[in-house]
Amino acid sequence: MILNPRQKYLQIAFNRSMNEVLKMMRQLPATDRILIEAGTPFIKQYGTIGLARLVHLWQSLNNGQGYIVADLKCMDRGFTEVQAVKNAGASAATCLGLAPVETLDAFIKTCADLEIDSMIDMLNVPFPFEVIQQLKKRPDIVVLHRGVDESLNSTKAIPYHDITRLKGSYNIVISIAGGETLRDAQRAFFNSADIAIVWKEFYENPDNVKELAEKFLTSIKGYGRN
Amino acid sequence: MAEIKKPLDKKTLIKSIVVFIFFIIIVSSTGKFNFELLINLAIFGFFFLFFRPSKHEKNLLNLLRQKPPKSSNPSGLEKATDLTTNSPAQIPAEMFNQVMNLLTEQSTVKNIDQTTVLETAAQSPAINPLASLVQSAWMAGSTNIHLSRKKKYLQVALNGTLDEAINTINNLPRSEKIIIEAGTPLIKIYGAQAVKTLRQYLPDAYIVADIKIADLAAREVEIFKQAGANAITALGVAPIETLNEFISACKAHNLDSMIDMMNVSSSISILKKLSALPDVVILHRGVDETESTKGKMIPYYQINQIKGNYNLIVAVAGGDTPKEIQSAVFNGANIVVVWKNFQNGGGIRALAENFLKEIR
Repeated sequence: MILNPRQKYLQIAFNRSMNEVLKMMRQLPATDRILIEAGTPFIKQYGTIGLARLVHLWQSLNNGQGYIVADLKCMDRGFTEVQAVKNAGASAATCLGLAPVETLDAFIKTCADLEIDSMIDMLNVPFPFEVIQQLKKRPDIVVLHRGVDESLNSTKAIPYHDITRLKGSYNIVISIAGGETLRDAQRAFFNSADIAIVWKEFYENPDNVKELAEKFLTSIKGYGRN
Repeated sequence: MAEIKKPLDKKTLIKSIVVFIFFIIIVSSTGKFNFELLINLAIFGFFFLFFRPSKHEKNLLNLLRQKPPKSSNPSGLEKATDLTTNSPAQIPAEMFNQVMNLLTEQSTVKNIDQTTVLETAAQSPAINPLASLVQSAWMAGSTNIHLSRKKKYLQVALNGTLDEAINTINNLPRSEKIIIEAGTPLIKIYGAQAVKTLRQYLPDAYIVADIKIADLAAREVEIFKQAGANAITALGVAPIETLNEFISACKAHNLDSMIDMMNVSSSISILKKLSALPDVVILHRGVDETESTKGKMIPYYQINQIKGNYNLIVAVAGGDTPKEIQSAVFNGANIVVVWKNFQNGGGIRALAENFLKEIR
């Protein structure tokens, strides 16, 4: 696994147009605590060519140590898609926990063979624990997720309670998606998540990326090593 | 194609009067009321009046035959072919309005969104900017095709590289019963450009963008509407809020919504929860499932279960052999999705021709 499981990370998802995303990324402070995510709409719009541009920029800003997540949301034929993003230089790829178990197994195996991190996105999965149980090999990272469209429905909450449930049985890295504010990120780390995924505030304020990133990085302080 | 109706002008009125007089002369000369002659004349008159190329169509053809104006306005015209700028094309306003008026007055092309036309014209590399403008306007118009519930379709999924996809397209017979699908791997590798390229090759085809939406539905629908897709897929396993958002976004953009029921045990229970129905339901057995597990079946029994309860178009994906295609149609599927046969090169042409011949 490329990530250090003892550290906390902030993952920022980018979904704007290519030029805006590149401009936003140039403002980010260079630190290995920030993971860049190429969002699903971004990948569908620009393909792996767009992804390669993000990789190139982030690697050059971080002396070749940058970490880029390709939010593929695989549902079938994981092999082809993972191979393509690996060639573009991604460090991790995601697959939907809703996919057939056969796809998940093939995805995790391909990721292990190609030496990139496998992330299973538990969007709309009622019991993530049961999905992990069925797999031949466990993934590197599990993403507990409340969808953006779902967040309009106020009765659906971010599944913090699943973090300890998973961590109790498996030595696994957990990331939390669906939170939007600084308070949500703090809450995620307090509930012993390793990665907090944020996107909305960055999406809405493309000009203040630096301040926002510094603000969100304060939520990591006091947790993990450092 | 819809019937073209035009108000009668003076010339056609005079012509029809001449035809009528001619008819009266014949009737009076033979002395008998000849029904055969009457019918023949009526058919002739009908074709004469309604199926001539109209004035607009003639003008449009002339416009297309024109050579690009040389250095009359070089800065404006060159920008239309410049791939590096994402700004709308700098085509002279007069020329643009002329083309748009001609196109919108024809009855087959309606509701053209002028900004999308300009954007697509700006991004399409063409030697003649005027031709690219006309083509992109046709593209915008051709996204208004919808599927019929009474017909059977063969949906050809294109994966692999874009070159392979275009190769496959060239092998396919031209028919409105063949649907082109830009597969998920193709889109994830080439982005929305994959759909744009297919649209440039096939301006009249029905193109499905298989993007398998799981979240952020409205945004992704908008991206692929601009790319020129006719239909978009979402996952049946996605949250209900996403599906509702997806269906309403598709309606707003005048696209067909397809819900892919892959890994869903009961499609009916999903359809029941939705606030509006999609246009198409795809029953799907995944490729990974097929390759590693032998026991999983394509859920044919669900076809009539869905059709009995809802007035929907049902597609079946996951079978590749001619026998599986036949059994899908026999079980009542409207659309059969195939992908495997042409990965190895041959086979798709024979398969498609066989489908067009056997299944009506």
